[in-house]
Amino acid sequence: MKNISRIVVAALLLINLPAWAQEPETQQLVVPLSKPGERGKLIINLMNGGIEVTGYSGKDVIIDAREITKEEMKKIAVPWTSGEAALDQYFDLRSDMPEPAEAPVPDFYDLSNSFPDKKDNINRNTEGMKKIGGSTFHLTAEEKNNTVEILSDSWMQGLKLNIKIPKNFNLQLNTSMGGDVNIENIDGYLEIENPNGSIEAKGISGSAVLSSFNGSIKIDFDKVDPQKTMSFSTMTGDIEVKLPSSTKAMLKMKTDAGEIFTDFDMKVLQNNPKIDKENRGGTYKVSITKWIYGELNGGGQEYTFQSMNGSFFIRKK
Amino acid sequence: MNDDRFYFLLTEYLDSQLDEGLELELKAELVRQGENVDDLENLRRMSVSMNRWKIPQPSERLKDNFYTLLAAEQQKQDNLVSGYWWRVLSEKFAFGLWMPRLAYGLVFLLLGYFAGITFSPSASQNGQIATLSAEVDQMREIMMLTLLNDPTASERLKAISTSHYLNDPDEKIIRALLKTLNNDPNENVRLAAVDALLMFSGIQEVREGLIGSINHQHSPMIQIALTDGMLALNEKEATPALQRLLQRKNLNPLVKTRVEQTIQKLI
Amino acid sequence: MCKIHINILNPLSDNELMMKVKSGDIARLGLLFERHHKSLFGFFYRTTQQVELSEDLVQDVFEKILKKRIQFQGFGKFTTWMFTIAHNEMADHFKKNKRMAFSSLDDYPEDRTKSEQSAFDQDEKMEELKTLELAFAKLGQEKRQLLALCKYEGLSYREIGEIMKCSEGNARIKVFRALQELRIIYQNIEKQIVI
Repeated sequence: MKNISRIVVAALLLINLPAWAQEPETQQLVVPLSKPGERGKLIINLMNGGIEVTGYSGKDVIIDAREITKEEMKKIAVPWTSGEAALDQYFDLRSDMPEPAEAPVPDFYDLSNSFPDKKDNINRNTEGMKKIGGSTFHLTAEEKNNTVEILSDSWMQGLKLNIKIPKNFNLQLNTSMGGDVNIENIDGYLEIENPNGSIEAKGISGSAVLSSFNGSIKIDFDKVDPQKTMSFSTMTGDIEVKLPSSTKAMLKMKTDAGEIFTDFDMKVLQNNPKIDKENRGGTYKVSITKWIYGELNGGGQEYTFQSMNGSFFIRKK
Repeated sequence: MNDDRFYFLLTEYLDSQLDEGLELELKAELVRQGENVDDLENLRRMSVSMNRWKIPQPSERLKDNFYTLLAAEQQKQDNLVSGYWWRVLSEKFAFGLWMPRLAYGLVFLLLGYFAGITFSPSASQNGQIATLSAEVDQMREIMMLTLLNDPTASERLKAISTSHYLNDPDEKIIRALLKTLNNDPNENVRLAAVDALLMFSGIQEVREGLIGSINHQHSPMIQIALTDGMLALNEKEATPALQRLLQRKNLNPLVKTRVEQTIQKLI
Repeated sequence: MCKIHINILNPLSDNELMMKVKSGDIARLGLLFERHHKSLFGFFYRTTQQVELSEDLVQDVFEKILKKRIQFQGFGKFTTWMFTIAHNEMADHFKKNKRMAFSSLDDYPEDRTKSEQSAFDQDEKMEELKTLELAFAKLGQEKRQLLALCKYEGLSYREIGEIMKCSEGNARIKVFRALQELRIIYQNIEKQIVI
């Protein structure tokens, strides 16, 4: 019994996407902006597979997407299911059949915790909407007022996205299952959560709020926005941040088992002096802090580093 | 058997801490002394049943009084410090031989003005300062509540760091922080919320909210942050919630270890 | 690259916190309060069986801790120091209120009801526990303190010895005698009820 259904599924796959046997085909989507030249925002949620975003000199958002191969999928460690079982699950589901009623949702990232307003931000009219792929993978990109949101129908889809955007863009990326995120050459604000993969960014002018569980975080700033606060968190991965040597900031750091390295001339303090001076303890305040404060160039916005096992490397350019 | 050993065995036995071998040794000694072994057993049973005696909880008054005391002591300390500097400065200018008279007088005047405002506030100024700081607090609270709804995580983080400047957050703020802890989509923001709430863990509502959040969280880092917080507070009330967390399917093994260790330490 | 030394694997220990308070970081006493006020309250309540008085005594202990913070050496456990202060406060209180030293439950009917309402297990053993509580109240105050520290606040005999200024061996003897006396009182109460 089981054997027969397997053959049927495989056959469907072959018919629908002959490219599966060879290199998966890359498909491209070009999304023009409502206000070309003006600052834009890119939002991606629930991707599984890997995202590359590069700032370029063009005016449109160009999305290249392809399915990830079995080999690439294997490399992505799925934390709470065994590798083989995950693969089987993935390939069985990825067919014309509707998704099974009880698609297992990974426990470690509860996707129901979103702002109630989030869905309503984007107007779902079909103008500016394009759909990639046949029945096997579904990817849509919606543009409204210079905000481009990339959505996928199935949380299980393993897609490799390579996106080119104008440099003056803000990013809000949330990948749930795995794959690395690589950002290059952006002048803006990065808000990225990649629980099961690493985040690497270079050529950034602006600020960032980044988090990963298993992966490492590496970001190289050409310029830093002096008005913005930043925060970096991992569970086991290292955090490496490269800042211009004149950066003024107050680093707030905490790692259980990792170490902290820097080549800045950092003034290490036990408390945030700004708070101590102004505030002499309220009626109910309890001081439990285990944070270490490091002042760069006299201090400025707060940059938070926290990890359980990861080490921090704060380098100057 | 010497006295020390005898009473050692006796008391350990009453605490149910003796292994079989030592128990036999004790009972043998009792028999040798002509004592009734059953009596001892009854005493032990009484000792054990004493453990079930539960007592009432202290009232809010206890916390209120303590934190008032703490604040007063803090204030005293600040006044002492500023008083010290005033004395140092006034000593420096008391012998103004090196200064032209006019400049001396002017400087002293300025110093007096400056000191009056900054260093040793009079009783009425204390009142003014108190109202001013309450207004500043209020402004901060409004700013914080507004920023907590900002679509960018960076601004929400700024909002939470404002809470470090608040002295007596009112219920709105606490609820907003708890809501952020439980519902904010960004990991870094939720972590910051844990930190801010721990700072106010003297407030009962905050404690209960933190304990309640333990089983609401799916992210390992937040689970660990809350668990560590409970340990730092020595909050035994959190133990049932932590035990429930251990039952969770797919609980991250690092979290599992941390929670188990914490439950042990909270006993 | 230079390495920053960090020392934050565990939450700050009691002693570390108290040393910080001693050096001027008074806010840290808040965390010590959060950790230990329930335990202190328990000690005072079991000894006096009065909620309000116990609350006041806890406050007194922390006031003393603040006043005497310079004296904290950092050797030995913070809790031993804390309970020594508590024990002294208790003794001082009884000196001022000689009557209370030998309180019997009849003197404080109000609090009697309060503790009766407190969480007793709802089973047949409830009678037993009530009797036990009555018997406890009839013990002398020093014995009540002793048993409170030993049985309920989980202090070791050595710590009890330090607090009560006697040897560990003596502490054990005292506890044993207190338990014996408690049992005798308990049996007497039972006999009365039967009659």
